[in-house]
Amino acid sequence: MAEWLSHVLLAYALFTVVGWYVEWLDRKWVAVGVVGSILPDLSRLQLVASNEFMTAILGVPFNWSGLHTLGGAVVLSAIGAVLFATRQQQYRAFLLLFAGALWHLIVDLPQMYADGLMVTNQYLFPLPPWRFSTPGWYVSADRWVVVVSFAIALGVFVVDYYRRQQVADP
Amino acid sequence: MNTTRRVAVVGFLVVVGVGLCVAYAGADLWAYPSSDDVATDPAGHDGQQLFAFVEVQSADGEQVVVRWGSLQELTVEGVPSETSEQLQSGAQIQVYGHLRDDSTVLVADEVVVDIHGTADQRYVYGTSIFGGVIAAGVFLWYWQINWRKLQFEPRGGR
Repeated sequence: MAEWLSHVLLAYALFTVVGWYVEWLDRKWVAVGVVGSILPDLSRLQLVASNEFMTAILGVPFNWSGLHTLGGAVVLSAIGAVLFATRQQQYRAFLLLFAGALWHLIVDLPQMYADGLMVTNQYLFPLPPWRFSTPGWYVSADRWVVVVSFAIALGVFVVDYYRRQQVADP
Repeated sequence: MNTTRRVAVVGFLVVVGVGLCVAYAGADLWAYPSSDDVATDPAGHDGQQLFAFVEVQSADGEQVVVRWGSLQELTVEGVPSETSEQLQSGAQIQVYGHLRDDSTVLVADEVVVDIHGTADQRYVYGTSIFGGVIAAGVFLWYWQINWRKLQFEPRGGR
């Protein structure tokens, strides 16, 4: 999986561009989408409480990677959305948290795998474990990923800045 | 939504999340045997093709010793020397290959290095923490936490 900085930068770029076309998606909602982009990596909680520890506590096999899935994205987005005040905010928060989490999984997909296939069998859970060919673009420690992500985010930031200037001073 | 109901809904969703992780742990998502499968019947898996995410214990020439789940010591052969020379203890690699010698040796057809060693590990954790801080900072710039109602509210004027 890519590191969080790339996820955050690419989510900022995505939701800022979508915000050009969706009126209510302003900067405060872009921030919600950005948070959504790191939700699947809550599976890293296994660094705090290992799968073995959780299995011993619960008495049944447990794997935090269940959060780094489509099903995990739905559940985590729902938990986040419930914490917003109004019904409209909850709907919007769920939509953006889920879109951010989905974007995270999409960004993680084209990584390099030794058998030449994506790990969609994990990410699609609880859907059937299909696997597709991976283009093998990167591994998690490749430095160029964050450089490209930063360049994309910076480009979107500059365009967004001038768009706002035009709106403020037509 | 009042605070009591919010806590109840979050509690329910946390239980659903735990259930999802339990279901995931029990799901058969891979066409390849797991380390537990191999540990249970090592000889029975000789010749079987597998795909494993493993942690390097030591690397010496083309022979690399790794830990794969419950299998503490598995020798990987066929790792290109230019790859194994860069591996440190703790490196994380993927191996696609087949087992032999009572599943004590994994003959690699393909190897992908995710983490070469401590420098890569520090880079991934460092950039991830930095990204997490940015995400939290941006969110809290636009939203505030109402601890009494346990909810997020937009900050005034943002």
